[in-house]
Amino acid sequence: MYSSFIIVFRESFEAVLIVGILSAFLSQRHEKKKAFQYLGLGVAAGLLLSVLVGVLLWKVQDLLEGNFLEWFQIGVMAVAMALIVHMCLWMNKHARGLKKELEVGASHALEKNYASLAVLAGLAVLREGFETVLFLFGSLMEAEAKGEMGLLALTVLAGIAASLVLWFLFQKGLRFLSFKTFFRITTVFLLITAGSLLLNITNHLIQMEVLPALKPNIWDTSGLFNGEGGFGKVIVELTGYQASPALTTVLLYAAFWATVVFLFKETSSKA
Amino acid sequence: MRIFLAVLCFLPSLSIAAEKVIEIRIKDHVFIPSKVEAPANEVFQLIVINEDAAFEEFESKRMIIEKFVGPKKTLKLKVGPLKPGEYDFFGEFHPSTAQGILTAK
Repeated sequence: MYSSFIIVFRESFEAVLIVGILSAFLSQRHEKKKAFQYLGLGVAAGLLLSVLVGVLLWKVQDLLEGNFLEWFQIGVMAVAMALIVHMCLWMNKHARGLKKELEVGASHALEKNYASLAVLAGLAVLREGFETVLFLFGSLMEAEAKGEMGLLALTVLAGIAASLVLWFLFQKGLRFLSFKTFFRITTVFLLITAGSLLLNITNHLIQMEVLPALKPNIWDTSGLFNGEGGFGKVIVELTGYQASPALTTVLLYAAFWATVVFLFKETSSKA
Repeated sequence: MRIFLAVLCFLPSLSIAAEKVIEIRIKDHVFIPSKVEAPANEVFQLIVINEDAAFEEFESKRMIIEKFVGPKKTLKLKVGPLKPGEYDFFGEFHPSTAQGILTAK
């Protein structure tokens, strides 16, 4: 049962952080209620879709045989990655004019982005959400057989509660930071997350032989950091760190950061 | 950049004729066998047979694998080439019991 708790908590970890950052950004900007409603809508849609996709995969398990699930995951991750970069760029552009915007009392620019805010929140939930649902289906059957349904329900609730506590601490912790510092840290964090999504997509494509590895294991840094231990696992989870990556992976990751830096320079100079 | 990516996509993937096949079964959220040997420096096939009624996600950080196996389903993976060494793998949904090590020799 302990593992059910850990899984529910861990799978919601990233979604909680992303939604937490978006919500903190909105409250820092004193955004209208509508913005939070969009965010909430996104989370709710993400939860609903997680259950729907979970049920679909459970009922139609042949979907697992082909590459349907792979492409679905790749699709979710690709859109999430693009939206994260888009949001970061957008925040970068508007963080500068923030004071002025607040003085004029205008946040029209953000309103146009409410929809992508909602989609991003939804995808953040969906990405790990449907996995949790699949996991829970299995646990549910076992718990039923063992007569431990109550215990399972309790651990699931505890897992969700733990991620909400995390979110609460996250928001409290951020209050001590200035907007500028908050903004910088979260931008870097979000971009690292987007990068880890790209790494994940690349892994799937190489595994499916859609992309060639070009040269596997171009180096091995497992001696330096092998991602073990609690802290190590969190780092691996957030960054997508690989001790021994393929050349394709390294090239795409480098291209990702080059593109991001270029786009940031571009929007900063225009602002 | 775009052209480069396009070229990447159409490069034929390497295929090696006689691959070694390694089979692992999952029963009661435990890998059988939990210790396997595989050839180093070549591509081999890893077959994971899930005999449980629950979903599992076969995962290995070092081998860079993360794939679902449905209940009573079989997963076929191409792995490698791996450098000689030990590669741990686990079932993400039951990490307390589903643990194993693949040794590449």
